[in-house]
Amino acid sequence: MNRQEILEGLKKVLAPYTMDKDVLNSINEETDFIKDLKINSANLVDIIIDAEEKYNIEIDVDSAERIHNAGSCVDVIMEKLNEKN
Amino acid sequence: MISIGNDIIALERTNAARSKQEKFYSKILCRQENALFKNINSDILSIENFVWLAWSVKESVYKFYTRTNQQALFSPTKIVIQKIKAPLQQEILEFDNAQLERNSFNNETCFCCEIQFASDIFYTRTLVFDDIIFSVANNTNCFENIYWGIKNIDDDSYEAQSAAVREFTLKGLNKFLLSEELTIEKSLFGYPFISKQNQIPLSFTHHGNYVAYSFKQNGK
Repeated sequence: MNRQEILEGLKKVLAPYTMDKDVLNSINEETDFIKDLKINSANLVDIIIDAEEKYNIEIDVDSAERIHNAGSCVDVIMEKLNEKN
Repeated sequence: MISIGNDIIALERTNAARSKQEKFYSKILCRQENALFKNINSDILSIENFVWLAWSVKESVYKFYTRTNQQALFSPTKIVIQKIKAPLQQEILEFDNAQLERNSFNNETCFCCEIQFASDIFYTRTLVFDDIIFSVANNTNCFENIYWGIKNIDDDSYEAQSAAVREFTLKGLNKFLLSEELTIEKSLFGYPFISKQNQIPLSFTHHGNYVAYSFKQNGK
């Protein structure tokens, strides 16, 4: 899976947690979960767990704390997928 | 450090069944915090509400800390609740008003926590209502000069929450502290402040149909 494919997959993970569908549809690696997508921080753990389930990976706390925008989330997902293979 | 931090959780917007699963709470609580729950009467605080109390405490402390340490990352398991004291009054509070405002916390009705983050110690007060959890963080264990308010709103869109919290805060500031005309601005780092009043730190929070503010007089 390349970065673009993961970004597309991430869009589906984020969809239930944002009301800002226009920003979601034009998501890029710089899109900030809280500032741009207006996701409430109380949903950040849900997003991590949903990403873990979607990609069958485990995101440890040190990796989770690096996630703040779409790009950093793609980084972590790719790292964890590579560790699996 | 002149700062303040707060956080509100609208319990209706949380997934209670998921919150009590280990895969969820292990991303919020560290091992030593699991033990704290055992000393609390579960009639006044269920496991899922304990998880959200911990979240709101940690988020409040993080907001307090990042006002002067903007690079700090939010990693809930690294903000550690060392002690928790349950309210003397062993009952769940009901949020039955459209809004509630106070100029301190009553230890008989709130949870008091002591928290370690980085090399600092912080203190919080948390009110657990039937449908919301609200925490405020400070760097001393004195909350007598801390003003706060919680308001129920109809429109839960981000824009409505954002407008409502500003309007509610300005009314609170005028009611408790200052009668002059004030404006609220946002710093480059995302925290709100009162223009020309940088000795009065301010914090906002919103979730679902609730907005809340807290501010500290004279920044003491």
